[in-house]
Amino acid sequence: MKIPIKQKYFSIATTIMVTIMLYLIVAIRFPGVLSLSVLLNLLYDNSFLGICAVGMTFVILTGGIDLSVGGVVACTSVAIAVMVRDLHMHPAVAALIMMGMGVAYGIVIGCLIHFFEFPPFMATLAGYFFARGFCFVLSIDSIPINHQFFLDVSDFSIPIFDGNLAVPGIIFLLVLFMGIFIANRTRFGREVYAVGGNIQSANLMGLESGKTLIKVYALSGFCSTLAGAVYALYTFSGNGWAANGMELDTIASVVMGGTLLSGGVGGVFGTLFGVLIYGIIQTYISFDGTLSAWWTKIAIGILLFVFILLQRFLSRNNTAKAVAVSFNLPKEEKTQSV
Amino acid sequence: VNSTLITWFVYVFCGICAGIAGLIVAADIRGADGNNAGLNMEMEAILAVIVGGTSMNGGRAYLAGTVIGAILMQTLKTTILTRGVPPQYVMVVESIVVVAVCLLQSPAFRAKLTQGFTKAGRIPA
Repeated sequence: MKIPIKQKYFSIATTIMVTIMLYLIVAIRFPGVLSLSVLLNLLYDNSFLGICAVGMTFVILTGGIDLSVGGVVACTSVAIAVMVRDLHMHPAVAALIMMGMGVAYGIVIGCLIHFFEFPPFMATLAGYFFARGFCFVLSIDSIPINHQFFLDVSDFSIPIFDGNLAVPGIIFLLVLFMGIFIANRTRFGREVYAVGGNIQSANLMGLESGKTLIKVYALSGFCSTLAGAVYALYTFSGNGWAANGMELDTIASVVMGGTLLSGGVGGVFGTLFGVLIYGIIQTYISFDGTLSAWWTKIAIGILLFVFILLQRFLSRNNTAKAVAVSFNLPKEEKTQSV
Repeated sequence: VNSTLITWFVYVFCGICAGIAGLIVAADIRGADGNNAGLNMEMEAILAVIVGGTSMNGGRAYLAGTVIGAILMQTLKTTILTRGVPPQYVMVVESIVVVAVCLLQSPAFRAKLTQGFTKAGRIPA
């Protein structure tokens, strides 16, 4: 079992190095980014992406995928806006209701995947369309949220030296620490790794893999709706086209953070750096001012490609080693057997 | 069978088809629209394929069925539009249809369904 652990640390180390390198490259051109407030803004501006990415990390660790986060984020923001405007609800209550709905939605998706053997991408793509469609059923236009509570919450921030960390950033950090704790220190976290490593052996060990899967999608649903609430707080509005294509940014962050798409290897801690890479590229583009925002997507695409190649290379090497070890193959045959 | 070559070919062919579809869309709207042309088309394409009877688990495909599926999709859309239902409902209805069709294809769901019938005393022939 030494090989996957080594590989895990290697992937995370690469990610952290790339993050620091990118940051330094940006810092050479714009020394202003070295200030603490820019760093805190990185957390603030990417808070909803990060919150989704934490939930997504668990899903990808089980070997699944969740394509519905963007739709759920948009749906949550619109639903909160509608509830506040038409039903005169308190935004916090509306957000709590939506988080409950998010968990319920995740359970339904998990049941479809577990009991009826839907491919995860199919079940969540259907969920995406449902959520995205439901936004427009609720409202075609984007709705502003004018509520004193939102103003108060967005005014609140924790001063850290010469910077300020606003509420979305705080929520992101809380979710991140919770995620790291759940993944590494709880029974559920170990079950997730076991199911992602090899679902058959997890079943043979007596793990109820179905329950784990359903819980994982419920967790992802919860994270997406929480991200939707944060998005509403961040933009002061609910918008049906919000977070368009965000599911892919989320998956990209998770994969860049060192989590293998095939499941079982990776962690929530790496995801933080995946999100930071995304944020740094965006910061560079906004500091530069002449580049189009779409360059973010291109840069992310190239980085993602490099990371996947790297992972593929690593995991191929390791499977070769693992196969060679488990069958006691001589060295020459081990490369052929894969 | 050279599975690597087939996998390559399948994705290349899918790319070619998407390219042709792109040409048709461009001709249809007489312009290029990087943001909205073909937006959310994945779902409709997948829906057309699975409604046509292709198994989601692979290994079972019907091209003629796909054509029927595509026509059915468009019928569904046109019906929604002409019946005066707001067009926003299209996506919701589509996703429900997809889940329903996938459920009908799922062996576990069928087993439950037949079990239910047996319990109710209506044994299917």
